[in-house]
Amino acid sequence: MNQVGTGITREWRRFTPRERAGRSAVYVATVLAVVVSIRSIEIIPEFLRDTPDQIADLFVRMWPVDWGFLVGAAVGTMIETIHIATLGTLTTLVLALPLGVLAARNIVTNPAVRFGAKLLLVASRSVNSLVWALFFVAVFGPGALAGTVAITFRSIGFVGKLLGEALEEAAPGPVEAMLAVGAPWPSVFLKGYWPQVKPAFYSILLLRWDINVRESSVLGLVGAGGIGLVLDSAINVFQWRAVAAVLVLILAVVLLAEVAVTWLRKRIM
Amino acid sequence: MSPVTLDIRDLSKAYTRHEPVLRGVTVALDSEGVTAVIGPSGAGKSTLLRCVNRLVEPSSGRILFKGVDLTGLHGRPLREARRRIGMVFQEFNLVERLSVIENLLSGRLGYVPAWRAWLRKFPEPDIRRAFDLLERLGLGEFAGKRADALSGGQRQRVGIGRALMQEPELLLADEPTSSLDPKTSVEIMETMAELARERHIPVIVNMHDVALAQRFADRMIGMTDGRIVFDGAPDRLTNEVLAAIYGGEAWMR
Amino acid sequence: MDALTRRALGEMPFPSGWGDRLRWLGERQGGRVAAILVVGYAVYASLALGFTPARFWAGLTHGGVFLRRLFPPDFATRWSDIQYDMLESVEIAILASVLGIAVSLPMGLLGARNLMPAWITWPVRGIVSVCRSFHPVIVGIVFVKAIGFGPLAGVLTLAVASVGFIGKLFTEAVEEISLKQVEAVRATGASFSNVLIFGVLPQVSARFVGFSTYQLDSNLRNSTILGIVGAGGIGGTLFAAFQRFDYNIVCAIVIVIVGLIMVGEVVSEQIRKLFQ
Repeated sequence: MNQVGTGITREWRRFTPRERAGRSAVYVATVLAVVVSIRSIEIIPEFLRDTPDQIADLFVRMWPVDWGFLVGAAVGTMIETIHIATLGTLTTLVLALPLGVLAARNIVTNPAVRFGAKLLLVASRSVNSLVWALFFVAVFGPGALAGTVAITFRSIGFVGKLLGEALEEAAPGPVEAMLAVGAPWPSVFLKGYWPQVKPAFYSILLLRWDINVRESSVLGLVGAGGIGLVLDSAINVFQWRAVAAVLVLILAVVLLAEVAVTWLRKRIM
Repeated sequence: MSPVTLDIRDLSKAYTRHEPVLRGVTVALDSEGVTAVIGPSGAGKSTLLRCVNRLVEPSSGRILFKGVDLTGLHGRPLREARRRIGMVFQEFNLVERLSVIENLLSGRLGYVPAWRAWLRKFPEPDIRRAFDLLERLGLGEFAGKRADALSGGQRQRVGIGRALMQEPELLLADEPTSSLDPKTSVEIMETMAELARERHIPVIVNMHDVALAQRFADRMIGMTDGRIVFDGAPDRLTNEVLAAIYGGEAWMR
Repeated sequence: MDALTRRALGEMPFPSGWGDRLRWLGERQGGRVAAILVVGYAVYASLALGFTPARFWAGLTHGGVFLRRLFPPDFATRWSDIQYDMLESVEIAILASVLGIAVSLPMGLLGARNLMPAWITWPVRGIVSVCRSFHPVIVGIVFVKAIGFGPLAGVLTLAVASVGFIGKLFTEAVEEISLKQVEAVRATGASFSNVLIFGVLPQVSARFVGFSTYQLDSNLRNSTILGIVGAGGIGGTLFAAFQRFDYNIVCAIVIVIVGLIMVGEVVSEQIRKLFQ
C-alpha cells in the first residue's frame, strides 16, 4: 500500500499472499504424503538395514564378469535391439509428423481437430513402452515385431508433442510471405515452416532414438524381442556373472549411442 | 597511534613467471576521501584492488588493513576482513534474478547465518537500514523489482548500496563507471563520493576516465606496467605526467 | 586470386568436411541421398528382424480380435486390488521423488566444475552417470534381488533414476552460471553456504524446479510398470492380468493408469508454476 507523501512501501513481500498459500499447501501436502506413504508401504526395517550387505553380495556374485557369455546370442540380440530402436524411431516419424502438424495452434484452426490430435498424442505418451509391448505381444505374438511397434506407439506422443511445439514457435513471417504469393500448401510447409523447425526436428528425433535404445533393451523382459530376453533368462537361472556381462554390454551400447547422437548433432546443425 | 587504514608493501602479482602484473607496489592510504587509480589497460589497477580483498591472490608482499595482514588470512578471519571492505564492480555484478532489496541485503551476508539467508529473515535493523539506503539512493519504489529490470545507472546504485550495507571501513570501486554513459558516470561518482564522505569511508576508485577522476579525487595514483609512477594531488597531474603514465600524446587534448 | 591458384597454394576457399560435403550436395541431392539410405536401412532392418508382410497382416487381424476382447473394461472384479496397487504406485512415486530431489540438489552442486575441485567432481559425476545409465526396469530388477520384492525396491529404483536425471542436468545448469555474481557475494565476506544461497542458487533455482517436476511426472509413469519386475505398484497386477488373458481387466487398469498420469501431468505443471 502506498502512503501518500512518501510514495514508497517499506514492506517487503517476497511472495504474494496467493503464492505463499500455494507454496505452503504444497509443502504441507508433501509432508503429509510422505508420512502416509512411509506408514502404508511395508518397509521392513530388517530389509533396509540389510541393503548394503545384499548389494555387496550381489556384486560379489557378479565378479569375475563372464565375457564369454557375450559371444553367443548376446551380441546378435543386442544388434536386434538397436534395429528395434532405430526402426521404431523411423516409423514414428511417419506418424508423428502429421499428428504434430494437426496439433499446432498456428497451422490448424479447428479446435476439435487439434484436441483430437493432442488427445492421441497424450494417450500415446501415457502408456509406458513396456505396457505397449505387452499389448503388441498379445497381438503379434512374441518377438521383435511387437517390440518395434511398441516403440513406435510410445514415441509418437513424445515426438508429436515436441514437433507441435516447435511448429507453434515458428515465426509467422516466412509463412505469411509464402501464403501471400499464393503458394500451394506443400510449398508453404516446405519453404515456410520446414527451414525453421529443421534443427528442432533432427534434435527431437535423435533424442528419442537415444531414449529408445535404452527402452528397447528391456522390452525383451515381456517377450518383445531384444536383449531383454537374454537378460531375463540369465537372471532367472541366477547366472549373475552372465548378467553382469549383459549389463556392461547394454551400458556400452547406450554410451555409444549418446556419443553418436552428440556427434550427429554437431554435424547436422 | 591508530594504524594506517591501508598499507600496501611491496605487493607483486604474476600470473605466469615472466609476466608480472604488479611489481613491488608500495603505497599507504590514511585519510578519508577519494583516491583514484589511473593508468592504461594492463597496468595492474584492477589487480591491485582485487588483491586487497583477496579476490586475486598476491604472489608476494603484504597488505595491512588497519594493522591486520590480509595476505595471510584464510577461512573465517578472511571473511571477517572482507566484511569490512566493500566493493563496487564495473558490471555491477548484482544477482539478477533477485530483487533490489535482496541485493542490498546481500551486503549483510557476512553477518548472518545460512538459515537466515535461506529464509530471507534478515534482522529488522538491517531491513530498515536497507530501505533507508534505498530512499537515499533514489530507488525507493524499486525495492521489490528484479535487479535485471533496472537500467545500468540504477543497478550501479544498488551495487553501491550493497557495498555500503556492509558498513565497511574501506570502499573499493573497480571501474565503476566504465559501463555507463558520461552523464550517469558523473552521477554515480557523485553518489559514491557523497555517501562515502557521510560515513567517513575512504574510497579507492579505479578508472580510465582521467578527467572524471580528477574531478572527484582527493588523491591520484598513476600506474604503468605494474608500478606506481605518480602519487599526488589531482592538480599536479600535468601533461608530462600523463604522457609518462599512458605513453604518447596523440590521445590528449 | 582465382580458385585454381588458391587450391594450388593449398588454401581451399571454404572449409571441407563430411558434414559440409553433405550440405553442399544441397537441399536437393543431399536430401535424396539421405532418404535413400534411410529407406534402405529400414528394409534391411525389417528383414533382419524377420518382419514379413504375412506376419504383419496376421497381426492386424488378430489385433482386431484383441481389441474386441479389451472392451468393455472390467472395473468391478478386483477393484479393491486395483485401488490398493494404484495407491501404492503413487506412494512409490512420491517417496522416490522426494528422496531423489533431496539428494540431487547437493549431488548436482558437488559435480559442478566451477564450484568444486576435480577430486570431488569426478567421482560425483561418475556416480550420477551410473545412476542414469540403466533403464529403471533394470535397476528395479537389481534392487528386487538385493532387498526383496515390494515397494521399497521401487522407491530406491526411482530415487536412483531421479538422481541420475536431475543431477546431470542440474550440474550443467550450475556450470553455466555467471561467476561475476558469485564473486560479488564472496566479496561481502559471506560464508560458503551464503555464497551458494545468494549467489549460485538464485541463478539455477528455476531450472531445478523444472527438472524436479519433470522427474516427478516421470517417476509416476515408471512406478506404474515397475511392478512387472516385482518392485511394487500396479505393474504386477497388470502383468498378471495379461498372463491370465483377462483383457477386460487389463483395459480397466490401463485406463486408470492413463487417467492417473494425466492428472499427474496437470499437478506437476501447477507445482512448477508455483515454484518457478
